[in-house]
Amino acid sequence: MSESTRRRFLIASGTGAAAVGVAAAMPGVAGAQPVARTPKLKLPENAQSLVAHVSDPSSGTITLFLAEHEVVVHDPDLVARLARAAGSKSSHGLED
Amino acid sequence: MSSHREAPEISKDPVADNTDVYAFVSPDRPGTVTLIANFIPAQQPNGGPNFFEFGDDVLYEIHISNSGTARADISYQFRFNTKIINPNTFLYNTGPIGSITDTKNWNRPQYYSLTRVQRGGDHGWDWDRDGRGELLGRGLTVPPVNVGVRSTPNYAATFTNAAAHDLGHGRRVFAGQRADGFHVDLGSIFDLGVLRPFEAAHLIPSAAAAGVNGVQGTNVHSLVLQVPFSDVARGGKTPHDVLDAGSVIGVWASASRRRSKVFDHDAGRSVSYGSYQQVSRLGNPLFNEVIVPMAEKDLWNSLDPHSDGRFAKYVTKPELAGLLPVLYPGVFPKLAAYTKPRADLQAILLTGIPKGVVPGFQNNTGPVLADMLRLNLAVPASASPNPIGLVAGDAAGFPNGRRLIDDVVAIELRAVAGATIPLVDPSYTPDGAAAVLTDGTSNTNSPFSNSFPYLGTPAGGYQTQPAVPAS
Repeated sequence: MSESTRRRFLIASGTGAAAVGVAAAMPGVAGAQPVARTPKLKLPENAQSLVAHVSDPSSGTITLFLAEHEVVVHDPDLVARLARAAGSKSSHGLED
Repeated sequence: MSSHREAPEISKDPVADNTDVYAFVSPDRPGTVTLIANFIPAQQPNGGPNFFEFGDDVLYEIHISNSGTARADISYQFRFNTKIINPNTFLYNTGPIGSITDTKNWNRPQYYSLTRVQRGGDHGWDWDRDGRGELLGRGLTVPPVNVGVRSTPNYAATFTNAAAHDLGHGRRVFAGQRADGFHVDLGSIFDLGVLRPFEAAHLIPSAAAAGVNGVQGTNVHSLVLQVPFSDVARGGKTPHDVLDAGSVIGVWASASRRRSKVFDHDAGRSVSYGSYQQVSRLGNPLFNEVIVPMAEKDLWNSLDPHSDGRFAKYVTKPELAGLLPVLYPGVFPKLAAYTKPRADLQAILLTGIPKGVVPGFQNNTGPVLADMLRLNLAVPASASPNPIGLVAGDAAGFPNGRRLIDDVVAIELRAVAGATIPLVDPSYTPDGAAAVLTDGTSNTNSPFSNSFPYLGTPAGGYQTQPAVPAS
């Protein structure tokens, strides 16, 4: 995924906590730092483009859509960080 | 229409929109069943340069239930992929397309794979998982659409048989554009339930007139699959006994999309992620269209047939049965006075007809309420098919499966109007009009073929004439 695509995922997620790009879910990325300035990420070799969906933040559950599959992750801390990131940048904050 | 644009959500997604499902014993190949699922409704044949095509991002399926559970025991999955041969032209074709393999002039061919999955349990089940799937074919060619006499000359002779692929073991498949074989007077029916032949008796009357086929001149995209009985019947057997429960199969089709779609700005197109979620479903014609209330149509499309018990109340007390006496004052007094739940419609649409209702016939699939076409494979194809089907004494026709020639609009109108109540309630005498109701239409598109893939040649773009201007 290109840097510009990552930024666009974040911009899309900035409209609310319902849908967020996976880039925002990566450790070190979910804070307030813009993705473009993120240091190199340690990713699994088979990492691929995916979409993370948080339908109900209070559940602490994230559904990851990738290829033709889904992975459900229960990680309240990660959801909280995503919600904070999305909430703090919900209107204009993620624009370059 | 049968299921063309029948629900709010799917009406905005025509590529995934089921229009009709057919299931019949092949008249020219005894021992095989033909299953047809049509998609992409109301195609204007001249819709270039981006002509109609199957969705590469849609999973199309034809399902069979043969165990009485109303769950898919067999699913045939169609997956498409489209190629652009010449990225430097805006044209679908740059010369006459001379054959189904002519990619010199044909710029946008489409191919597909067909997989048979046993008891996958969910849509898009990985066909290779647990050994439940069998890849029946891949790289199968879809014929070009009928562009016109210069681009796709001699369309029927050049492309139809060439796109009928033999898969071995008696299986055959076709996927591509065909003439819509359904017929209905759309303009009248959705104008406050007018049936033109009877509009003198309507609440807002006018002179009686002939019906107008609202899908005349339009095409659909069809999946046509022909398989031996043993491919779909319970236990892999070949049914011979009409009264044996194992002779009946339930059939429906679906289209599913991935759960998430993201617009990739760099590529200028959307990319899909995640598992498949059903967005369109069809078994009996007109079920979601006419039976299910608008507020629940999208939900119905997302569910599987075994969940249809929640919609049974709309079958046993159909809205249309209440409207007919209002729209046609004095014509349906007996129907208006009938207050019992419509057990006849429940049998026809949700369980199949049990033994003892029609002598020597049944197509019951057990107690699970489910909208499926039910076909008794032991009933041979009729030598003289009657478009009114079982109600007219032709047990090879709807609602025993569905053939192309079956006039399902007339059959279901008559059933809803009370013509089939005596099957389950002999004390009831239908109103006289119930037995003759019709919208007055017939197939005015290309004639059906007597052989595979049976549906008529699609209307050509060049040959298309504009519709009558609004007045």
